[in-house]
Amino acid sequence: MAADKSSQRVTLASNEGTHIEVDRVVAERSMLIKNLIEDLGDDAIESQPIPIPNVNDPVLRKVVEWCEHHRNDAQTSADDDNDNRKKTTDIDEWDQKFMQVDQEMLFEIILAANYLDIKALLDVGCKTVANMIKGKSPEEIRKTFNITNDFTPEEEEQIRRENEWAEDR
Amino acid sequence: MKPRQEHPQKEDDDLLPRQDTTQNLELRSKRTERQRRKREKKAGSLTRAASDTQLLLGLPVELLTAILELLRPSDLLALARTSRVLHGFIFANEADLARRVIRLRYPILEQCFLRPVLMRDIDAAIQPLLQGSYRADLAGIQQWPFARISIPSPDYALHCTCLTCLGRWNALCVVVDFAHWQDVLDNGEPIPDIAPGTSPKWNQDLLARTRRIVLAALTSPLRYARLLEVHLESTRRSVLRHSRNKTDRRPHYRMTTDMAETDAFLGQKGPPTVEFPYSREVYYLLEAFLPTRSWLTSQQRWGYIQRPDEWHQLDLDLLVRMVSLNRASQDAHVDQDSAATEGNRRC
Repeated sequence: MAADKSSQRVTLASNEGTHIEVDRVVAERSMLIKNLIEDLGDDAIESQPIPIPNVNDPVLRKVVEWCEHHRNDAQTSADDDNDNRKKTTDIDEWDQKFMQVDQEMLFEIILAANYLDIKALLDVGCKTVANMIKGKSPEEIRKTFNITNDFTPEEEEQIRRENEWAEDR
Repeated sequence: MKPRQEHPQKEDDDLLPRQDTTQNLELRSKRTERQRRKREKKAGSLTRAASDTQLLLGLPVELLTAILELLRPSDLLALARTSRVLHGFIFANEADLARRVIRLRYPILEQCFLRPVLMRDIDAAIQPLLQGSYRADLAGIQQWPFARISIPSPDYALHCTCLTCLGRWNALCVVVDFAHWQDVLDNGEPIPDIAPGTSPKWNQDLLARTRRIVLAALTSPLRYARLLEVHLESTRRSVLRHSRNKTDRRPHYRMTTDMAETDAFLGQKGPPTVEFPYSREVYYLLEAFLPTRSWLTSQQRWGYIQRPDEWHQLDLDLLVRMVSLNRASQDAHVDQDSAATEGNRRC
């Protein structure tokens, strides 16, 4: 007979084949995993790891760390989601520290959150990137994301004219 | 002296094929070490540069959009200036991005500051009526004293100038003009006076600038969203200005720092916002200008004009009827004149 859900453990397999064992409630922060478990049944997940083929080991560990911290958060409904987004780019302090990673990891987390369908984590990831852009000049944004300025001087002048007043802050 | 020993195999060696056993000299110096490190750093940063750019632009469209919709219009316009790819993406999806940003940040302001309907969206048969000589009646409205000072003339060819649309044009122009004077108002300085009947060069330049900005917003959703962003900022500064003024005992909008990111604080009960700033002198006391809304006491909420497009259509219908009546009246006059001329000739 399957164990009580709250004490049940599940094993996640990254795309590198490494295994990470977590509480079922933690794994179920991911709607993808939650639906998968419901489809496969409790017995199946006890006997074999759940494959997460699109996420590598370091990113999966990072995502699990976030899910552990937010294990008791209520699942957000569509309405709650809208309310949260009203706060635009505010991010909880723990999440801010959690997102202090290099850009490659940050974008990997966003992709993983999207794939695993963890809306709250995806939201934090998007807000973090948005905050990296907010209030910056075009040159500062280029520097942040290593974007090459491929406009000709004439094009730049044209765009500057079109944007008269539009970027004044 | 010891005789020099002759090499016994020397002659044989010359006959054998030669083998190059020399090796590259290994350069070892502080300078070469510095150069090597510099080369490695440059190569590393180039690889990194390529990958970082790809990270942002390599996101699926829905994720990139989810990030961009969290930005303010000014941030989106700054981002569009960074590279051709981002410029192309942002302006190709301008309408969708502006819609999302407005829904998140300026849903109240959007209801109060609608754009005039573009001429291209008006029935081709009605378009000439909006540009004809009978528009002189509306041109007269533009000659009101306040209009000459802070509201530039509309573009009769680009957008509708029915009474509804003209009201929208005037309100958008106030947004730009009011924003221009915010520093002056914050500093408690006087807004320069303009003597009646005069038109100083600085004000002509300001009117031309206001006109360019509002016209650009009529055809660009993102620049329109930027107008709303600017008006929220003007309103925020204005509310703060008046709230800090202890002699100003009027009720004010309650606002905290975290509220100023969106226009949600303007949804609470507060002073009326509908009065049109007919003169720049009104700016001194103006706290929030949000036309076309009023407080519904029975429902304890703000009421906004419903079905605004119908008002525009009503105005157009009225214009068509007015023109038809004028023509009929002119035709009647012509008939009377012709009859009179014929009568005189017979006499």
